[in-house]
Amino acid sequence: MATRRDVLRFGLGTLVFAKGCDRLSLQVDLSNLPDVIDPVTPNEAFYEQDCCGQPELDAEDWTLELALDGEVLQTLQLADLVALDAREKEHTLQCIGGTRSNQQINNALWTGLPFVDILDAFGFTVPDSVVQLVFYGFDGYDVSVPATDIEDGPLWLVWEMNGTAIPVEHGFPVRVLTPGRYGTKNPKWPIRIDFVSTPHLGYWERLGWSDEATYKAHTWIASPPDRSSVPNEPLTILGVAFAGTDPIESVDVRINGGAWQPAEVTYAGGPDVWSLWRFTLPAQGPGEVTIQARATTQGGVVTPDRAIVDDRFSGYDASMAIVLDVLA
Amino acid sequence: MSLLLLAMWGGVAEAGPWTRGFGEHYVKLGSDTYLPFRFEDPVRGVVDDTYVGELISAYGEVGLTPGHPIQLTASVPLSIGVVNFEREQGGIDVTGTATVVRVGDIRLGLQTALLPPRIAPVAVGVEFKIPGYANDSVGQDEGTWQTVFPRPGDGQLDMTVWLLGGTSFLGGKGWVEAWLGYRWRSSIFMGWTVDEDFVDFADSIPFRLTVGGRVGPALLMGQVDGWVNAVREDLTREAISVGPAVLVDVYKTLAIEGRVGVEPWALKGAQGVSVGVGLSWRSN
Repeated sequence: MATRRDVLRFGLGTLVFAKGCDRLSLQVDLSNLPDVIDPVTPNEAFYEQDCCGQPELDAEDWTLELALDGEVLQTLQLADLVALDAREKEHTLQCIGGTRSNQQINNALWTGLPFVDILDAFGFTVPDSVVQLVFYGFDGYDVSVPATDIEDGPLWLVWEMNGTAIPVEHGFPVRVLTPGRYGTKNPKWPIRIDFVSTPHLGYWERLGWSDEATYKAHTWIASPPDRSSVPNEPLTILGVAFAGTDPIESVDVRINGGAWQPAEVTYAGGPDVWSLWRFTLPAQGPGEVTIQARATTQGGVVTPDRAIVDDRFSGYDASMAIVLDVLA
Repeated sequence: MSLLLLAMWGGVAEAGPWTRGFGEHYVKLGSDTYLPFRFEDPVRGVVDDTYVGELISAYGEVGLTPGHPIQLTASVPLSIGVVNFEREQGGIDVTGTATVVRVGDIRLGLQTALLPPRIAPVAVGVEFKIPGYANDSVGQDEGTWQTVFPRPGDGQLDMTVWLLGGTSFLGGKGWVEAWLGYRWRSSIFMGWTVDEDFVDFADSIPFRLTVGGRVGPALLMGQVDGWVNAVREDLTREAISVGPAVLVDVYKTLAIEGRVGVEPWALKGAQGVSVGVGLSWRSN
């Protein structure tokens, strides 16, 4: 006969059953942890993200139409652009959907020109009535940016990445760089730029992602990965701090919620460029240890104490934390 | 990622439009494995992670009333989802496996015959889908890795109304049946905090067409089932599955069942193959 205790035990068991269980298993080669993050990411290691698959493009066939409210006024070819006196620009891109486990942020040296210079070179005047630029990609992607980005950004068109033609996975033959805004606003494979007098909502924005898409100040901890088991010895923690057009001033780290301690900024990127930092974690003894990093920008912004994103559709905006299991 | 499609289907010997009479019953304990060969997240795009989904479920039908048939159906699954993933952080390659075990989407339904059985097997039914899990809890203790854990389902209440019809032939050895429904996808989320401006699943039109026949001790069946969305939108998964199923009596009305389903078409989610086995018992 079931007793009251039996019923309670069954009920609790059912509660646990309904709660379920989760299990994570990680394989990390801790013997191969880097000492430093490359300030400039090689093309083959640069993150990839697109909406609709990579197109097959022939540079000789590629054209870029400049249109005004849908009416094509001018068509450029790649040869027209590369004939211009190009400049180099260091520029970091981050996916707005980057998460703590899939950070999708990298930095490269791009070659091209500010879009305003390109427009001047080809005698294209932007009417005052224009409120946005809408970029249409060969892959079917579309995205808009405010017309003010032409000069305020300034917005760039680039055709080389780290000294070579942009690889197809990163936008060959031309990519748009929009300073201060997430990767969604830096489209690949553009084939038409439409200067429009009415606002347009782009591909990812129609699915709920932020239309403003401006970078939020945040930190990433890149190494070692969260939930790693590490030896009981001093450990190098590596990370990234980035706030778009607002350069990073300093990075601090705290252990197990204690006092903030300064980290070493190993690469101080300027506007539009990430900063890299390093912290040597003293041996902590066996058990779990929580490490958190915050950043302060030159503009006075301090990343919040929380590690959880506020609005995942607007980009990560917090001070990343990881938990390590220190072995005996 | 969820196993909604599998959970639609009860078993080879389910009543279909032949609503069960008073005391008639059919119960099945089954295991279905889902192996996607493609997964497109409607918000993030194509995902390279590999996934295996497993549903261990108990399904039952029982006729409730003497006279005019009214039937109760119920399905309670245990959902197991396993994701193998690769990520890169700061130049470090991390591979891992995330496993989630939860009670899945519980289904409760009532069905009644529209016409007397002697005239024609036509029935109507209503079915409710109730999440047995809390998506907010999935991976919640795993910090930065929480987002790699697969969710057991869409975490919200649904109601489906069905119209079922069928006929038998070859002296009752063969049968064909068709189901057509309308599914209301509510915004009543249970255990999952969502921004309802952007997570709003579309209503859908589920359907099923089955042809089957008895061959000796076995029932053989071919089936096409799935659903299409009632409106064009970018978030809600749609899929069609095609495949055979078999039931073999091993002792009186105790039977072993097996099935295979292939999804030749699926949008905004997983597309794959499902394989199921089960042990069932029916009253007749």
